[in-house]
Amino acid sequence: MRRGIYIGAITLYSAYFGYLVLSGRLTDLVNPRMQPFVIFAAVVLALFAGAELFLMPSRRSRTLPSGVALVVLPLLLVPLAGGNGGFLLSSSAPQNLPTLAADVALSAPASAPARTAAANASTPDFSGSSLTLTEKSYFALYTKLYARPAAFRGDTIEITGRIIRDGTSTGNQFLAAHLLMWCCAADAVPLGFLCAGPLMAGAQLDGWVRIRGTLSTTKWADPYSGVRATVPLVNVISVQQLPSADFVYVYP
Amino acid sequence: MDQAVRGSQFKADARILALYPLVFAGLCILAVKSLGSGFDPIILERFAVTTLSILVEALPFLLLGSLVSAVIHLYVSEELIARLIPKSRVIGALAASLMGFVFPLCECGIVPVVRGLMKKGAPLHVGITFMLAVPMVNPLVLASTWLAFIQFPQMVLFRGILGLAAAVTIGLVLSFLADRRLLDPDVLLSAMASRVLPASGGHHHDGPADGGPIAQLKAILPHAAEDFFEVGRYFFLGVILSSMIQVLLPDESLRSIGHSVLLSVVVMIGAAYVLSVCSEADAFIARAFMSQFSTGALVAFLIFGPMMDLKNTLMLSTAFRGRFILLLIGAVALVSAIIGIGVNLLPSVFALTGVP
Repeated sequence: MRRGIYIGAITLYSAYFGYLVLSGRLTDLVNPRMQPFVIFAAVVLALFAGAELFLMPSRRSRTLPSGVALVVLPLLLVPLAGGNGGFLLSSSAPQNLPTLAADVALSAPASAPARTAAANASTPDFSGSSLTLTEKSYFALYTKLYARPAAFRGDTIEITGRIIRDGTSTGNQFLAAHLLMWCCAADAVPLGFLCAGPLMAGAQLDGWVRIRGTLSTTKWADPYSGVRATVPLVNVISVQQLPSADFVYVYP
Repeated sequence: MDQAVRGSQFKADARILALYPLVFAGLCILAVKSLGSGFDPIILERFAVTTLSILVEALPFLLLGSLVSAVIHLYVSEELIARLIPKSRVIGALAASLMGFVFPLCECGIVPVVRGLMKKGAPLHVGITFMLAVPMVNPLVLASTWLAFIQFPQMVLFRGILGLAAAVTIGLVLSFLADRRLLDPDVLLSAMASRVLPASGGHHHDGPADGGPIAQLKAILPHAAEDFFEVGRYFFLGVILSSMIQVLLPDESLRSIGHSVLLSVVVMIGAAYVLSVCSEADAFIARAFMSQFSTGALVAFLIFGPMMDLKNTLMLSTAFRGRFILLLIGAVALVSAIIGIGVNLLPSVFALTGVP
């Protein structure tokens, strides 16, 4: 009985990994660079299930050691994962610490490329002095803006993000953020831009918005390390509420 | 012999079953928090997403480790390993610490190999250093550490160099403090039989199969599959508990602990011990804690975990006397703490600088 459940479980894991890859939902759980490893895992798990079934007759006369329930439990969580690799509940990206994005920016290299180089890059979309951050260009452009915020002062920027306020947001400031996924959704942290300006009526905390504004700079201090840095500030011109996110995660 | 195998199997099962209430309690707490103010599915959803994402990310490495372990089990003899180790104490310890580059075993598969080395006359300092270093400093673990900390490649160096230093130091010091009487050959024998092929009656002396690639694959797969389940049940437990901790612990208190020079190191050493995550996947767990904990705490986690954890203690307890295990745990914890605190006190030397 236990052996049957175990073989069924690893077969289901193999199928689930295949589903994640084929459906494109893998990137809701892990960084896209993990795809070859996940395909490998799907194949090996299928082979293991086959080995358990056909190559290990001694298992039939003995029950498996305890621990099958631990293998099965995560499978029961799949329906609860919502849009993040699951099936049932509505999509809602996990909310980790309300860490201001400058956590990442502060560790960006000081010798970041100048604006001219950035403008020639293939991923970020520069149109004159207007910057638009897309899913693919987000991290690259974000890094350039935080590395040399003064170089972009006065430019127009259009971003999307979820509205977040944390201990470092003062007055009419808020953070419009996506989630930066380094490796997997468990390590995702909010990554976005500090914005200043009135939010439109009805715009709620945690709601998704599209913001158009002009760039300036401001000083920001990490509440834990105390490190101060000059960061870009988006002075809001207009805010548009979005019913859902075009994209939740961005990847380095 | 069969009775010894069954007895050891029973003990291992009892240890696993004893941890079920912990998982059940965690699930109850999650359910109560979800139902606290009406039904709030977000907590359960976070738990589900966290668990599945760590699983999807780390499981491929565990599977790879199981396959490598099976290949070594079938194609590399313990005699060959013993022949390669020098007899000189210092050179022997240094050589043993680098054996992970030749035999990339994780801590889950190292105990039977060490027992084999000891039985064939390998000195204690070689056995201990081998057992502590190989699961941490080997290509698979360093590659997974690089992948997890791809923006911070210095972590690979911190783990490799400081981990090697820790393993060699502990191996040499313990070889002076302890002696072979702390090893119990009878217990080792039954432990070996129970850990290597517990469900197949302990026929652990298979050799390479004759025939082509299909025959070789047929020989490797059962060993790898059994190894995967033996290790995997502890791995799944670690992932589930890790996810629970991440979802249930208040973020702010964790951050305030996580940036303390001393407390953060102690907490992460405790986490490494309890979570018992395989060394091929623990870098991803550490990466998930990066925003909450100091660099020294993460380094201590990555060094302590492969050398000693709850799962490993459970395995060691079937092979070594209790006094030796206590001595080993104390030594590993002390050295890891010193390294972690040192990293925290020298941020200019051990800073994690991002490389986008």
